[in-house]
Amino acid sequence: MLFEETISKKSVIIVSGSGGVGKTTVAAALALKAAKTGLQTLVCTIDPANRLADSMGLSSLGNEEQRVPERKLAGAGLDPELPLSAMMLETGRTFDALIARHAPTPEIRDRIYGNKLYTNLSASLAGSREYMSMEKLYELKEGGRYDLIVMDTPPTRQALDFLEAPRRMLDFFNANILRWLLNPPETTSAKGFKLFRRGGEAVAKRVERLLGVSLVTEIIDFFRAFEGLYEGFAERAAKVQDILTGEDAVFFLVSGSDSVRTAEGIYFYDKLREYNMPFSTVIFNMVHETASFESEKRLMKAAERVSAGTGIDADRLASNYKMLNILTRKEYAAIDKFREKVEEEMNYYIIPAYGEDIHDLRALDRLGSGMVSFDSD
Amino acid sequence: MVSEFFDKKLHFITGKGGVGKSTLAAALARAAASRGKKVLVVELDTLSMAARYLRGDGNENPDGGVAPGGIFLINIDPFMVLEEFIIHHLPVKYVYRKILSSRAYKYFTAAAPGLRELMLLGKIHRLVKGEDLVAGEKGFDIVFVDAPATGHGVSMFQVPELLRKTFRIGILNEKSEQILSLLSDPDTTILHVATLPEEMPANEAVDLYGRMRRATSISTGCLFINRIFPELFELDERAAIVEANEGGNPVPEGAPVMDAAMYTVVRNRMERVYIDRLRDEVPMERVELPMLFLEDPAEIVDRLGEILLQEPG
Repeated sequence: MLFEETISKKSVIIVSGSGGVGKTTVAAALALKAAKTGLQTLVCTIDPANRLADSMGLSSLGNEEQRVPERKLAGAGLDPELPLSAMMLETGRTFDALIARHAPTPEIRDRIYGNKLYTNLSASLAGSREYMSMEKLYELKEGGRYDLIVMDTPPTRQALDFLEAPRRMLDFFNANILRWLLNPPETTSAKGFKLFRRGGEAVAKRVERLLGVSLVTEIIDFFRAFEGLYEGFAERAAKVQDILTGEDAVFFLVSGSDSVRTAEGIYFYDKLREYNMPFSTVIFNMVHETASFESEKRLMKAAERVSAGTGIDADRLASNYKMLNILTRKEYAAIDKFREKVEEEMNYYIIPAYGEDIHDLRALDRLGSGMVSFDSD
Repeated sequence: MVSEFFDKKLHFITGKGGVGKSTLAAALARAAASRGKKVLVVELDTLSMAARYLRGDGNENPDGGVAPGGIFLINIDPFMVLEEFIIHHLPVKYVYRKILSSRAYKYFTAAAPGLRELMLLGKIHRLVKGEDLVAGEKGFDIVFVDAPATGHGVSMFQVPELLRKTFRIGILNEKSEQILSLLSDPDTTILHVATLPEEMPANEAVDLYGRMRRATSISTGCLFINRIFPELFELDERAAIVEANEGGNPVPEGAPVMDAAMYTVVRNRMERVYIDRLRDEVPMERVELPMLFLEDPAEIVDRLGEILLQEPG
């Protein structure tokens, strides 16, 4: 299924990949490409470079979607009416909004906002960014305003944290171990209960020694405050899961092109498979391409002719060419290896290396247009 | 010069994902080992890439052990460390069994903020102090830690301070104190930043430097600017390349050569912008490292190790 077909059938594209491969840029380029076909498109970015954000009119805005301004589009030689919107995800605000939505009373909401654990949790620690990106996706999808949502994903160490995050966070809010420790449940046998009780008290004392009393209080308070919210959370997380595995969503994998990056790419691919995520497309970003010469002699001859016309040293021209040719060969070898490992049918795209940063709409447009299907030539 | 820092015992290498931290950690280990140091490379809950490069054997499961040249390797799994910690501090078998086997424990530890970081740092602390062994050995002269990608990276260094404040008393408070005093000791601990001459990595290096200065008391060492594309052409040649490129191509069979030349000129120009920016905004000892056109990552590590020991200029 080529890109055009994909966007006509799917309404969510999740762009995944390891850090430093240009995920955000590719996500934005894909969204622009889709918007050019007339689809109402939104790209939700996580951490765009300042100038890229600026080029889409995002510099002053936070957690809200915004139409890419007409003058920005016109300035890049694009149709000013292009149905393209963009937003930057802010974890803290998304989390706050989630709490506000599910808290039964404003008092509980404020109690949570004021809890130290919550402050730490809603900042960038331990999976909250991943959880919130999925939460936001659900909200955007529910809003029904877009034909296509292109979702950037947070940089991950290795695993697909964002797939595990909703479940993990839910389990965290539902974690009753501390409540168990401090208020052991009743058991059927009286003897069992006594043993249990004793164990629980002993553990509670130990835990207090370990953590200090104030923290234990804080933790208990935290979980008490969250008790009323859990149901709403769980329901939503299940719905997020439905989106991810449903008919509407598809994963794209962005990979770098050197052998280290493609090895990471294969790891990602395996993980997506493990989680049964719908996965259709691999995009190799920043691939070097040099046309080849029949022989060293031909190369030298060409370099000499260029040199004669321009005054540039022929040897330097030739060695520069060879250097890039080495990159080209290495990268295509790595890509071939990737394709060998992935046995199933897959769309492969290549985006050439431009040697420049992509930080305006014009460059994004070039990137999207320059994206070629691997088998098309 | 990098080797000036080799008298410090604990080196963290941090930076954005994909800038070559693992390669650099491995290369630093090689460099230090070649100066006769007893070296340990610590990886934190990752794919053990540094260990793979150092062993050069493509081993699928290379956690721990010894690499050629007498470099010791360990990959720390925070959850294993936490288990050890719990067993140590809750020494009632019935109780810790109950805890460790509960589902709630697993999820809680996976999600609890700061816990993973504290466990990783705690383990590093014990390795540096010689309380824990690697392959039966202790007494390392120098420990290189391939730190997690930034974002995660900064939080890791902020965790001890945060936890010290959160846990006013108790064992975790003590642990946090110990770790803090190790991290903020300028004679022992130093933090290097790895980056690339590209927009996002450079931004992140600037940002990271600022946050490190503001939020932690770790001493900063080298700024490694990795994979700088070779500059082959003279100044007047660059101008001629740009001009020829704009004027269309007079020599059709020379097109691949010209395209390649133009690519290099454009890329050099872009990289120069970020190298200058880093020089202006990150006042750390700058180490510029070239992109290497070698096939094997292990070869790249060896070559970088040599380059790191050369006099600058």
